[in-house]
Amino acid sequence: MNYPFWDVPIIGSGWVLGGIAIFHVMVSHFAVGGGLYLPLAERKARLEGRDDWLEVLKKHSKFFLVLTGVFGAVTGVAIWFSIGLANPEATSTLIHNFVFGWAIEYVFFLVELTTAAIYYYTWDKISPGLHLKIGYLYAATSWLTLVIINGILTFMLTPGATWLGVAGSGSEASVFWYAFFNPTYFPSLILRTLVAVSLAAVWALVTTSRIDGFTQGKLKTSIVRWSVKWLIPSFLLMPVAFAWYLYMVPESGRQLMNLGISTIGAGTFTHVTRAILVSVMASATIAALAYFVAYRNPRTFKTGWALSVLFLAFAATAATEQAREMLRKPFVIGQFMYSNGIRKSEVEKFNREGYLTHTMWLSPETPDSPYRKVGGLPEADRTLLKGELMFRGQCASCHTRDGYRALGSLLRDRDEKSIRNIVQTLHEYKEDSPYRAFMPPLVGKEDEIEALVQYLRTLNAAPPKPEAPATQTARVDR
Amino acid sequence: MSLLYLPNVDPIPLPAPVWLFKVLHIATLMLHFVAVQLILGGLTLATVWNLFGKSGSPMAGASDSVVKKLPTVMTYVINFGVPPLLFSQVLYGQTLYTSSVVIGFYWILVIFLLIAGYYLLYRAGDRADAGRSWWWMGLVSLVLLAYVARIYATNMTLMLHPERWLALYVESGGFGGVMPKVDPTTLPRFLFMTVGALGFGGIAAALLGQYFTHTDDVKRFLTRTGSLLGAVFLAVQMLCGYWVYAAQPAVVKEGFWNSPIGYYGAILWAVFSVAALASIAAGGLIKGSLSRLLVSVAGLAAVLMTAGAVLARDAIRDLSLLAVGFDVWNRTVVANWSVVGIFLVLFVAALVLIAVLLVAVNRSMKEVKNQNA
Repeated sequence: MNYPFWDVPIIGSGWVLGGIAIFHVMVSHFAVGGGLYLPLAERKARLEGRDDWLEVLKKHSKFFLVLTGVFGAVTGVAIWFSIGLANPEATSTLIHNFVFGWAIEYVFFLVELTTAAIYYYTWDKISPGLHLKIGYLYAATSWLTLVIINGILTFMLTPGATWLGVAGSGSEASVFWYAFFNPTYFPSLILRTLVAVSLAAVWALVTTSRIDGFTQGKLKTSIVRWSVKWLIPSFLLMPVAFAWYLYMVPESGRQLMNLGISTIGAGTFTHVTRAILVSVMASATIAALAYFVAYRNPRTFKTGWALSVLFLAFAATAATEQAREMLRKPFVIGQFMYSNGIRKSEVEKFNREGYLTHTMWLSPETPDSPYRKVGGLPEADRTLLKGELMFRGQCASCHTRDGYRALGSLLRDRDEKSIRNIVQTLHEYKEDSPYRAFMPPLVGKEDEIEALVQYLRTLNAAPPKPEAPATQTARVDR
Repeated sequence: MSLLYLPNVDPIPLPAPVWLFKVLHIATLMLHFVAVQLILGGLTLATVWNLFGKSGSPMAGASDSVVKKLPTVMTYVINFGVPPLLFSQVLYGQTLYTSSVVIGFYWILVIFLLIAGYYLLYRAGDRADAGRSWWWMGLVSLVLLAYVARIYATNMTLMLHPERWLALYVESGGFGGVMPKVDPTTLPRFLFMTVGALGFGGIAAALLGQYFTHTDDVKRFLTRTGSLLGAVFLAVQMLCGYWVYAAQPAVVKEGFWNSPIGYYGAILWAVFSVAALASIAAGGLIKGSLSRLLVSVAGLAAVLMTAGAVLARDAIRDLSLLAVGFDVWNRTVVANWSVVGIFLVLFVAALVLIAVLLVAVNRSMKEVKNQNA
């Protein structure tokens, strides 16, 4: 527990990050796909002399600018804020590896935002040819931001043997490009590009659904049908790209998915399988709605339908992103750092020397603070305090006390002996342990492990629940 | 003091020398601060003018003219804010991550305030386009953005004080919902930025009057009033600047004048503050093309003044952290120059591309305007 843990009640810090990330993916991929949709639609409109299309596109570009500029750009920054809060150790590793990758992405982002603003504000004010060129430039730089960030995202799942070979040696920078173009880089880039193109259609349907189908029937028919066609590449190529992606995913991740599929009959899906199923079903429903409702009956395609498609796209995106996260378990950076920020290489050291002895948050030398008074507390309170820090440091990245993946519920009806058994299993982390597929090892000396057991007991105890030890301690000190 | 206050440094070495990160951080932070001051100052002036300006008056016309530019300015507030945040995580991650977690609730709140404030700017601009009053939207946006500034000032101060982290962390139960008690330096640095923003807003209004198409009375209002407000608030900002320095702990004040970054930064700031103040005041009093020149000089001086302030700020940060045992220059570096080179080449290429684009757009706009005339 090098850094303090951001302890968000009920949803956990992971879902603050998750919620922001899912929303950002929806908007940022639209920024990429929609960035191509606009100039191509404008080109078609100008070639065919469709002034009515141009009027729709002007409105769509305003919607595009506000959505991607306000909500897309700010939620992009929000991801930085939230990863820094939820897992500062992993964020630091990524930043130290990829700071210039991010800097390059920033350069494209700078051109992207500038061209987006110019594109919107110069409708009818500059020559059509230049306006189109600006649109294409926007599309190119927007896609290039994806090209860069994709390297960093896929690195987290598959850092690659070359980077892992030098990790911890201080020579990580020398293999930057190996880490960047890692095993899942290209399939993921294709997948994300396809998602971006399909989201261009989904968001365009929202705008075009607002056209009055009775007074502007021809316009609505042509533009809705043209927008629906943007879904075709995704539905044709996505299965191939997805299969390639899965082929490149580490064996442990595939096993987790296979386990879920093979146990469907018994009703015991793994989390990752459930997420993939939601994604597939939502995508299939989008295809059905797009064809039967939008394409075949464009004049009566109302905003409610368009929002339904948007909601399904949101569900598919959320499920896919969660599946990607789950495939990475128990790591946050594959084979290097566990999801709780402990490096794989540190496990032995923490078991030998203790986990909490390496944190300034409970060191005997810790400067004046309530935690320092731990020595003056009764033995039981001292143990609970240590147990709470063990919980925060090693469990709370994925579990809350009584909300999302609540340990209070997961351990309900278990007595002390049973809890100790689970904790010991995680601590020993044997090769055949079933938990190895998705949970990190529990590290620390025996007294720390026991402190965690005692703390976990307070979580599943019948009400009234005892107050959190840290709060008690703070009150003692004031 | 002991390093026990601080989390351990990341074992992965820096991929480029500290000085390079410093240069990049300072240059981009300067741009970010210019944009921040433009948005806060511009929004304040425009909101007040919209509230008090009667429909059809130069004051109302000026307020509409300013608010329509603000969404674009806000785009660059965010865009220019990205690299300094990135580079400061590389250099100061140990302290910045920790202080951010310690006030985690407020830190993440920044995002939601920013989204709401930014969105309201677009809505206010739409209302201005439609000839409707929008001051209340501007006011809400201003309050939200000013609170973002307050949270930033708090976190950037808290990251310098590891001795306060533990107590705050415990008090908030780990959620980060407790703001630290007021530090003697927080208020002056907050005021330095916000008062300076009014000065910047004044200069920007005068520039807007000089360089953009307006009716004569709106142009006169923007130039005169902008110049007056610019001069007054730049003078007040200079006092705030001294307050920022005076509020520092003795150890920082002692080291400040021995630090080349602090020394030259302070001189740069002082010289260009005076230059900006004098030229904007003169620009408001004089008429004709000389006025345009003076207002432009004031704009340039204000940017350089900000560069000086950013340098001085950097020295204060490093000296404060050195006092608690964190030496930002003491880092292991294993550089990968190929990646650094690609970034620098792309960065320069992007700036050239944007410049070429703006010239082309400007030329095309004139051609289209002539065709339509």
